[in-house]
Amino acid sequence: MLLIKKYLFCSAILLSINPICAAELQDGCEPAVDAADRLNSNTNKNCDYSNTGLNGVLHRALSKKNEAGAETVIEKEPSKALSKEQGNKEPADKEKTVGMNSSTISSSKKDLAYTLKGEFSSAQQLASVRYELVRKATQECVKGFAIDGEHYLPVSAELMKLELSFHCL
Amino acid sequence: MKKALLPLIVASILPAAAFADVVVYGKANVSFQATDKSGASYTEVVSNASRIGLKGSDAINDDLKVIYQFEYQTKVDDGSNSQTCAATSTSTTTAPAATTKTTTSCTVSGQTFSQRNIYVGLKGNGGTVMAGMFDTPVKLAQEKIDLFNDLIGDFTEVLEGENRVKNVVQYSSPTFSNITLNAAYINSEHDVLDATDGYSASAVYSTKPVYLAIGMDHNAKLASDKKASAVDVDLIRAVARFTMGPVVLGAMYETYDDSKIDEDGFLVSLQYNIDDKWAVKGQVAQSDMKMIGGESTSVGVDYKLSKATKLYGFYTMIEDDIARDDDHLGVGIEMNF
Repeated sequence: MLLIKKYLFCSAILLSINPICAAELQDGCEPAVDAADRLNSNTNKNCDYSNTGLNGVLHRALSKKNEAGAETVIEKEPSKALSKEQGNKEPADKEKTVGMNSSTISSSKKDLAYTLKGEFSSAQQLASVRYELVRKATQECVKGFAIDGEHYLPVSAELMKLELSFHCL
Repeated sequence: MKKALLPLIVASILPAAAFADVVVYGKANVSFQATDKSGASYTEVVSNASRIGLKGSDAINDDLKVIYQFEYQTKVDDGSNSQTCAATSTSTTTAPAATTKTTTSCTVSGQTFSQRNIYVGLKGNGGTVMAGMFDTPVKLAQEKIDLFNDLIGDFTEVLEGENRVKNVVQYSSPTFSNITLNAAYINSEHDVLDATDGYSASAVYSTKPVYLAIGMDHNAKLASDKKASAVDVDLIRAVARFTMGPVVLGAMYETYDDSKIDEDGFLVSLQYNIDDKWAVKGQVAQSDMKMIGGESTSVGVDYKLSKATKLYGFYTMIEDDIARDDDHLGVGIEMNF
């Protein structure tokens, strides 16, 4: 009876953590543990395990850590003053539609172009950094902004930098 | 442990950039068995090669990358991977006849993890070179024809050749026309009389419907165990697997010669996948390599709870021509993560 209870307890533990370990494999790909048994053979070489099982949980946790880290390398600097024409340009229709009073917009912000920079080393980080840059631009320009340029620059073999240039509307 | 703690612990240790190409994986396999062995009957909970590991790669350039794998076995049932046994004998000279009584006592050391396949290597267009401690090409040639692998019905009870060797360097060719060649050199690491290095090699043809492999070992286990021997140990293994719709048929034939015994053996396995969840299977292995008249017969059923988890049941009979007649009836759960 004690052994039956022991076995049921072990099974309950395994089944309780099954939801976090459910594989989401592509067709034709075996579980990572079985692929590992083959000792790095060419079978499964096109399989992506980054979102499967415990590995997926760890990758998602690390992605959140990377997102938190991405904020620390975002730089903001006023780049150049926009031409008067660029700074004062506003869609007349939009102004009428939303009742905007252009005079309430800071003329200094309208006249300045900003550049936000963020570094990334993976596709997930790029999406996260780009989102953070857009979010910071929105915080800077309460009435919205327009992107003037988006530049991708190499920093090192593993690291790239995104420079987002924009001006407030 | 709360499920949130494990990823945070690992994530905090590994640098973010390095973790991108790392795969953490594992398997938990536990069975509850009723065993009838040598006249003794008992029930037991068995951890069947449960393990955890990580593997990954790091690109050096477009054509070359470093590969690595670290894998450890753990005992899910009693948390201990190491057991040492010592025999003690006591003799009496009391009339009418002297007697000797031998007692064997085993101590469980409590070690949680033991080493499985661990290697580091380079993989490029010209093939793969790796070094460490891992399964020989002959052992890997079995592919998945052993339908009761890691359970009591594993054919290793009857057949030789299931070696995970130490101090090994291996080259694997690129795969051309579904064919891969593997050659491993096992270092005995000492220069004494009759000490000998070993090797293991295989040629594999692998597709989904058809798998064929042939391999040979020469002193592989001797070299790994650093044992000196005046005689050589040779093993040749041939494997075939055919998948025809829901039916998977496997067969293996091997010869073993260590100058004391020169025997052959075989295994035949059959699995029928009833649907996406249910499968029934059976397997027979026979050889005189380990036991005179050794035979292992198993039947079983699998039920897939999900892609990662299955429940299974089995009945295994292991017997020989002398005295062994063991029966094992079990149910278990296997979860891949």
